This record gives sequence, structure tokens and C-alpha cells, in this order.
Amino acid sequence: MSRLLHSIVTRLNALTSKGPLKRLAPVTEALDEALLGTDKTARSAPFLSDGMDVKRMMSLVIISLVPSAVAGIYFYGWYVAAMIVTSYAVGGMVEVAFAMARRKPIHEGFLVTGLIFPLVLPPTTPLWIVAVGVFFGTFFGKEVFGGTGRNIFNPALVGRLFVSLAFPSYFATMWGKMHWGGAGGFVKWTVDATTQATPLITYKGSQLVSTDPISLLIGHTPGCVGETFRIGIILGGLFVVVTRAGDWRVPVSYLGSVVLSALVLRGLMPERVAPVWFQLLSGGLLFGAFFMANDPVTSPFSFTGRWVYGIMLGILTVLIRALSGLPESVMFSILLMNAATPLIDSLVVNQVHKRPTTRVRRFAA
Amino acid sequence: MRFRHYAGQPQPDVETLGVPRRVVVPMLQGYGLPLEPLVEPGDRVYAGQIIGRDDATVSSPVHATVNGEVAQVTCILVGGREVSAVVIDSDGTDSRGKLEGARPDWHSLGAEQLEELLYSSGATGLAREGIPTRFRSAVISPESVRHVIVAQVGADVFKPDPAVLLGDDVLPAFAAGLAILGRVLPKAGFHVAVSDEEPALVRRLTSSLAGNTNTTVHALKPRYPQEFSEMLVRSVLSEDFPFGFSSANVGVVIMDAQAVLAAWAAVVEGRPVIERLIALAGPGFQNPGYLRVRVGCSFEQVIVGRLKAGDLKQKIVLDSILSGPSVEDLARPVDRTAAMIIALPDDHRRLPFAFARPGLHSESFSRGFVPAWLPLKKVANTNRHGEERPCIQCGWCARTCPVRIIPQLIYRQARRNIDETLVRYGTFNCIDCNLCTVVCPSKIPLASHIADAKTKLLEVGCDNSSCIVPRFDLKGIEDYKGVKSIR
Repeated sequence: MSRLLHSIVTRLNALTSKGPLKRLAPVTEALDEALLGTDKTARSAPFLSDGMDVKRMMSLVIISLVPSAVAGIYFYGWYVAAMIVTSYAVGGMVEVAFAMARRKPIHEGFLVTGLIFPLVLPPTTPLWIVAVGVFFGTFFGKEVFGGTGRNIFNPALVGRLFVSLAFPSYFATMWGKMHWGGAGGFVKWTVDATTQATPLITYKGSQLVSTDPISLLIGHTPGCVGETFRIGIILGGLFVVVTRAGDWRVPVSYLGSVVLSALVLRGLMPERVAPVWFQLLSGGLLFGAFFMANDPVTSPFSFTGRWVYGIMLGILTVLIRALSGLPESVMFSILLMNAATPLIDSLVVNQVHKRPTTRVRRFAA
Repeated sequence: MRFRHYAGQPQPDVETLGVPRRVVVPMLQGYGLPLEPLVEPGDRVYAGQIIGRDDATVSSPVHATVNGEVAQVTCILVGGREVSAVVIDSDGTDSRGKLEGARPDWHSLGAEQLEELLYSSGATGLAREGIPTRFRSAVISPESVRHVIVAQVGADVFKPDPAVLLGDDVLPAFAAGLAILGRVLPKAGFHVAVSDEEPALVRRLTSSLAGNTNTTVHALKPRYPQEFSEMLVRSVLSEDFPFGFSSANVGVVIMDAQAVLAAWAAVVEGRPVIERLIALAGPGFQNPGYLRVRVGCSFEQVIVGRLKAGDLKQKIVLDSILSGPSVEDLARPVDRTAAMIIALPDDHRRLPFAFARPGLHSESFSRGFVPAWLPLKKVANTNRHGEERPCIQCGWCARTCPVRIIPQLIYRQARRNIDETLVRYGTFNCIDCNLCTVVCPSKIPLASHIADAKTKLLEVGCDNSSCIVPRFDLKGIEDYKGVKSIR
């Protein structure tokens, strides 16, 4: 089996090593690396390397997103799978095109972006909008900044913001009636695009909580494809945090700050601010806190900065939900705080590293 | 970071390697400046005869380690610099010369005689920064030593076996060795640091050291790099460390258990340091264990016939696979500070779908492989387990850094500009433990980038002494700088 793989990959590499197909070298290289693993060894100390690489790190995030994706298919039919495939195909093409143009290896980041993006769209979004969104997000959200590790904004959110502004009608009312019970969407293609409102939109209109915590947790409410099955999101989020693919500080500080600021603001203006449990469990908050705010590239790298970032996110989210005309605000909060990330980092680093110190970690006990 | 459950730990079987036919004795072993040999080709020497000694420079004497004839005086590379070395052809006999003045009732000896014995046995060169005596075996004087730390924590991937180095039969000698050092270093408090995962050892040590009133036993977490001087001073003494200088500069002498035992052997039995107990560890050895070898025999002689057969070449590493040097030239001699020789499979084999495997034997900081959850044996090899990628600021390097700097920040800043900002970010605090390179999922060699940044900073005249020197009462700086610059 592995010999067969070897021979296939070697032949592909030979094809693109010279001649007219040379431009495709990043593709075969990526295949080579992904299928066969590396043959590089350490030449100087340390001679031991962590088994974790970016490929596996991204795989861990993808595993943690599986419950949300599967729940999305169950609620809204196999059309959701088509959205994911479209997103991967178009996002992958942009990534490959840039890798070819830059003559750099293909980076694994788009594997997560390509999955997260369809999960934050309404279930009836036309495939061409998925394609446009992921193209815009990868192109303007990531590649124009110089690719993986250099982007300021979360690419999936840039795409989401663009399509929700460019095609607002699909995001205002068309949430679709979900399948529930039995085989659910596993035996259906899609859902009827009926006019339905998410709990947050209902609350914005009427100041009434239209649902209960259990329905929110198991996902029996309208919403974006991947954001409603909240038990799965919490489990996936815990997986990400435990395997350290994401930092625990961001979700903890974000969610904690939402709870606190909702408590305080509800005390000040009870008629505008929704109850704490409703704030916490509705909309894209959990999904955003675990999978989008926590993106390492676009969140602060300093640990103090991550606390500040999470706390600010929580305050912004509750404020925008309460005071603006928008029902949901997780996306805007995260994008705004993404923009503030370099500032937070430089403030924290300049404070902590004002002068050389003699700090060390406590190791004794 | 803790490294546990690695296959290939040294077992407590001690074997003695026969008298080697030829030894190469480097004139620089352990702490100090290189010496000039006192013998010439053709001279007859005996095991234990001093063949290099200079009381005027910071150094400790070097001995012939076998009986025989000096074949030649040559030059070898030790730590990247050329050092003279004496090649001795052995006559095969096992007798050894003894130091004059050694006696079992060492209590009757004065401090000066003890110093003389310690120095002429070479034991003073075994501590990391030398054991101070009036013979300039270290940069500080014996009176300025405030603390002595004996570190045997076993925080690395491969851990020495406490039953061998601090077994029941050894402990009386160990206690006596500490008492002898106590006479030479009158103002020092003694600290023995061992792992807190060995409660039995802690108990045995505590009871057998009960007679040493100035000695305390510390149970430390065996987290790498606990045994680095910078961490020991913090963990054992709760003191700040002057980064960039040495523990000797703050009056702290750090050594391992073998140095204490060598001090005992020198004073009580008159044995100079011509032998070394070396642990063989790593998955590359057939039977990892202990070997008593003559100083100066080659790595080749130590490992021959002991490596596992197979297609993979074994990488031979000295003392630590995380921070130690690799031994590329196996003809190189083993010196008297070597503690462990590790054979690590140089695994260039590609592993299809490595990223999707359960990784039954893989190390991971991130708990992303099975051994993080089940007590499976991990197997170390040199494979990098991934391709180099741009930094994604995941923060693992900063999370694991023992001195709380942000390695990726220094790496990115150093690519832009070499200036004072790098000093501010703590570049000189880096203790070269290499943990950032180990954990980086993007496989960036952060530690070597930081080391480069240090060199470049020194080239443009930036260092951190201006903020270290006023805050500490540093001893022996002038000497130290002299030694450091040529070490």
C-alpha cells in the first residue's frame, strides 16, 4: 500500500519537476507531504521533535467541527454537504493559485476556513453565494495580506461579512424549516426556504424570548448551519482546548465576559438586554468563541492580550446585541477585535517587556 | 515540560569496560582553560599521573588514564575549538597511581590538604563552574561560595537511574563527600535536588544525610529544564538569576552526584578522576545500562557491539537529546564530564498519513496523540514529524518557555531588525533549553534563531550586562569573562 503510494507520488513529482507542468509543483508537493510524511531529521539539538505539526493541528480542529457539520446535515439535508464541498473546492483553488503564483508550499489553513465558512451560513444559501463568499474571504481576508500567518482578519468571517452585506435578503429571513425527528435530513436533500426568524431576530423585534435552553442546546431553533447544535459545539470546543489546538483563555474570557456584561447591562436596562442564559446560548456566540475568536493567527499571541481580547469581545457582543439595530453581533465583534489585535499585543508586550527581566517560571512545586 | 514513559531508559546494571588499548586525553575536560601537556612522546606514564596542570590559570589538572607510553601529542576539537590532547598507548595493566596524603580518616586532614587532594585529583573540574580552591580551579574563591547544589533530578528525556548513582551502598560515601566539600567551602549551605517522583530516594537521602547539618534535600518536579543552573537557583534557593552570567558569579556551585563521589574518592581513597560511570540510553542500544569507562577512550570503543542492528543509522548524542551535542566523529574521546551517551535512531523514513495516525509512540505538548492519555511507551527518534510552515502564533513556544520569553516574537523581530528591542524582549534570558523548537507545530527552529540573534546582538555591541550588573552582587566577573570568551 505504502509502496503504491510512493510510486504514484514519485511519478507525479517527476511530472511537475520540469516542463510545462512546473507551475503545478506546489500541488504535487503538498500531496507528497500529506500522503507520505516527512523525511527531515534534526541535525542539531534538540534531536526530539513534537509529533504535532500544522497538518495534525488543523485535523484536530476539523475533528472538533464534525459534530456541528453532521448536525447541520441532519437538520438541513445533504445540501449542507454540497455547501461544504463548494467551499472547499473554491477556497482550495484560491489557495493553490496563490501557492503556484508565489512558488511556495500550499498551507493547511484553508482546510479549517473551508469548513467553518459554510457552517456560519444560513442553510438555504445558494451555492454560488457560498462560492463568492469563500473566494472573497480567502482572497481579501488572507492572501492579500501575504497568506497564512499574516492575515489580520479571520478569512471565514471576512467572507461571511461580505456576502451578508452584498446579498442581505438571504440573511434576513430565509432560515428554512429544519428537519426534526427520525432520520431527519439524512434522507433529504434540502429544506423549504420559508420565512422564519432566529430567536435573536425575534427578540430584537418583540423583546420576547421565543425558546428555552434545552431547544437551544440541542439545536431545535433556526439559525446558521453549524451554530445551532450547541452540545456538539461545546464538546468540540472542549476537544480543541484540551488538545491545545486552541487556547483556553479566549473562550473562557469571552463567554465569562458575556455573562458578566449581560448581568450588569440587564440590571441597567432590563427592557433592551436579553437574559444571560439566552445571550449565552443563542446565535453564533458559542461557535464564535470556540472556533473563530480563538483562531491563533488573528487573536493576540500574548496571554494577557488574550484575556483583554476575550473580555472586550464579550462587552462588544452584548452591547451591539442590545443597542444596535443588528440582532446578532458575534461576527462584528470578532472582526472589530481582530483589527485591535496588533494594538493589544504591542501594548501588552511593551508593558511586560519594558526592560529585560529575570523572570522565570516557578518550577519547584 | 515533562518527558515521561520513554523507551530506552538506562537499567541499573553496571558493567566495566576493560582497559582500552589507546586513549586520547584532551587537555580541556570540564570547566577551565585548556592546559599545555607536561609530557612528550616516548614518556612512560601511569594511570593517575598528572599530565597537565597550571596553577596560574583557571583550570584543574588532567591525568593519564592508563599505564603506558605517550604515543603523540596532537590537537583535537573540543566544543568547536582546537585543544591539545595526549595519545597514550596502554600496556594493558590495570594498576593505578594514588594521590599522596589521602586517608580514610579524612577528618584529621586540614582544609588546605583537602583542597590539595580535590584539586590534584581533578575532581574540582567536575562541577559546572568548577569547585573553588586556592588553586584557581574556579573563578571565585572558596569563601565566596554561598550555596552548593547537587542536582540529580532526572528531568530530561532519558533519566539516570537513582539506584546506581545514589544507591544504598553509595550513600555513605555521598554523605562523606558532601561533608568534605563542606570543609573546603566553609560558608556554603548544601542542597541535594532530586525528583519528587522518587519518594523512597528522598527518604533514604534525608535519613543518610541527617548527620550533615548544613545539608537539605529538595524534591523538585522533574520538568525539563529543571537541571539548568538558571532554574535550579530559582527552584532550590528562590533567588533571581543573572541571565548571561554563571551561577558561580552569584556564589552558587552546581554539580552532579558523580562529582561529590569523585571528591570522596580523591580524599578517602586517593583516586584521581580517570574513570567515569556513563549511562547508555536510548532506543538505539540493545541493553541500555551503565558502563564504567576510562576517560579518553573513544566513543567508538564504548558503543561498539552495543547498538541495535537495523537499516537505520543511530545518532549518538552526549548527555541530553534536547540540549546536548551530537557526536559525529566516533573517534572522539569520552571526557571526564560525560554522564550519558544516547543512541537515537536517525529516522528519515517517511510515515504515510502521519497527521492522521493515532501516534502510539509520539510525544506531544498538545495531548494530541494517544500516549498523552494512556501510559504507552514513547519512542524517541530524530524525525521532525512535519514540514516547516509560517508561524501561526499558536503560543506554544511561549507556553512552554521556562524563562517566560516569547520565542516567536524574538524570531520575528530578529528577522526585521537587530536592535535594543530584542534585549528588551529577553533575548539574553534564553537559556538554550530548546523547548520552543521541540514543541513548534510549524517546525521553526526557534531556539537556533534566538541563538543567532544573541550573536548578532553581541556583534553590534548590545548586551544586557548594564541591567544585570547593578542588580546583583556578582563575583569573579573579570575572570569569568576571560574564560567565557575563549570557552
